[in-house]
Amino acid sequence: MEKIQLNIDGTLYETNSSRTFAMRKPHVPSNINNVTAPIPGTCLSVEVKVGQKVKCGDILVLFNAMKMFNRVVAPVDGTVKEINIAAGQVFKKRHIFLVLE
Amino acid sequence: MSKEKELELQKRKEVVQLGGGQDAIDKQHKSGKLTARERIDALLDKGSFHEIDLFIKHSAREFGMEKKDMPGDGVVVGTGKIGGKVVCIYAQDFTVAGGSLGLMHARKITKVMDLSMQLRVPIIGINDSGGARVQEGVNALAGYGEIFYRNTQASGVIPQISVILGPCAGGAVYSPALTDFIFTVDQVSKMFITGPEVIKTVLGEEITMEELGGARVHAEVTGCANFFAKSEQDCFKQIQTLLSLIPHNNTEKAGSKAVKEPKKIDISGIVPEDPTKPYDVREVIKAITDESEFFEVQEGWAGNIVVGFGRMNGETVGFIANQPLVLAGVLDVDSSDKCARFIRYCDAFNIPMITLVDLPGYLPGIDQEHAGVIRHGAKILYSYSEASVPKITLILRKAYGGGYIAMNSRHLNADFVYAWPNAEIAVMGPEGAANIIFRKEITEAADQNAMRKQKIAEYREKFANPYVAASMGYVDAVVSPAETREYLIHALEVASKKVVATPNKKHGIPPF
Repeated sequence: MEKIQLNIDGTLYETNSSRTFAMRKPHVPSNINNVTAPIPGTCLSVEVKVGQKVKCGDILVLFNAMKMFNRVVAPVDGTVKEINIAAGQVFKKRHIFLVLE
Repeated sequence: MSKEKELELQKRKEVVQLGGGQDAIDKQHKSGKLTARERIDALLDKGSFHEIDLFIKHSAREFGMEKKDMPGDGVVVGTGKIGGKVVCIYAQDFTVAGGSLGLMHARKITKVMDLSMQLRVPIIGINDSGGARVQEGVNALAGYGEIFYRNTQASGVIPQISVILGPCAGGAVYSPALTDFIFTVDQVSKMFITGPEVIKTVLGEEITMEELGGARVHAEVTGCANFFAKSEQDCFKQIQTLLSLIPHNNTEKAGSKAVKEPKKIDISGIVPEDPTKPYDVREVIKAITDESEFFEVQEGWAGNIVVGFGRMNGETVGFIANQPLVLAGVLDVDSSDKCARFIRYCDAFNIPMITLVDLPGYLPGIDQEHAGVIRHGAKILYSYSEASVPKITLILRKAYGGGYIAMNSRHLNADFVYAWPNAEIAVMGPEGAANIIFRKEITEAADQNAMRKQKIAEYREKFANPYVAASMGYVDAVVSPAETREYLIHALEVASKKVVATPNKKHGIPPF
């Protein structure tokens, strides 16, 4: 494994990396206004339109995944700014369905 | 007895022992694998294998299965010896219905598992199976369930060894996961819960069986495998070595060996004076064990901590050591898991432990925090505190902060804590500590850098040594490297009959 310098509490240590350390995922800051897919699936329907006002808990998107019928609800009150999903579309995990504001 | 009857027995045996037939055997060989019987032969002492349940017939009756003949129902079970000591063993036969598990197949396995519990001997399971026999429906699931329950009941009573010499997928892989040690072979072992086809269908992601759950993946990424071998023969040698080192049940000691001194190694020349420079802690282990031998466990994963077995004065000891060569020897999620499970294994089987300490702390990082380093790190504290086997600690160099506490400090009821003269036992390294303690002096100084350097030197002079901890009795003795083996052997001897009073409880709730 490659040689690295590791900073622990202000002291620099000469050492080697490990495979798991090298493979660690970079942090992606979360944004509550991004409504994302928790698992991959196929969208059945989009229940809102751009510009529509929604309340926390309102159903936004319905989709099929893991042989089950799933729903995505609004995490906060807001207005639908952007929609990135349509009925029939296949999506991956963490796909951003909509952006609220 | 009529010759006829004896001939009939011979014939019946030959038919069943051929498993799925010569063609299937050839296919098995072509794919780089040995057959079930060849594996048992290679692993066990020559001629020591006695088979049972050879003539079991499967109980499947749906889908025309009653017309199908499955010799031995796809698994070979029995008793034998390894290194002269009794073991129970089962080996799934991939040539028969793909080694798939049906009810009677499972019953053969549970029978030999029950036997191993009663006989108080290790049980070795060679896995090579396509999984549940779908035609047997719930009966196949029942089979697995009965195996898992027994794995759990046997856990900590007799050694349970799983050898993955083929596919071991879906529910089936939970039996090895419940056992003590999993042995894998490059290109042969395949372990996963959901396979590549399902992943492709559901997620649209493409991956090969080898990349998903091959031996290397489990030895280096998941930590599910404890041992990795390049060939089946190498794997069997590893199993034989392990069995020569560990007790064969929880009331016996491991076999002793005649005491041989370690090789002539200059032990004081291994650890660099500069605490920021790395070295391979296994060199230190080899400088103190009998014959300088050390059998490492889970070598490929969480390399920042080293665990394994060696002998001290003829007896098996479990070694745990921070490894400055990898990630400066910090504790993190994976190394905590690796260490904690090994401690519990040693404790369950009455194997004394020697802990070698040299770590600067825990690995910082968002990924570590979000992966729950809090929860995982707590496992080490729990396991060390709970362990009632002789626990000897030797601080080689750095022991800072929480890492100092976690690595079997006196406070976690270690029996003896020793430190080398260059040990630094402190709340953190001088650079970090000086910045906090002397922040005022540094920020108010005319030359901040010079003041910082001065304060770091002051802190180092006063605290980066073993004598402050020794003055409080947190370190029992400061020991020179050359005296190490003698001190450790003495400590192990005097602690050998120790008894710890644990409060009366069914069991604790470790941070799983």
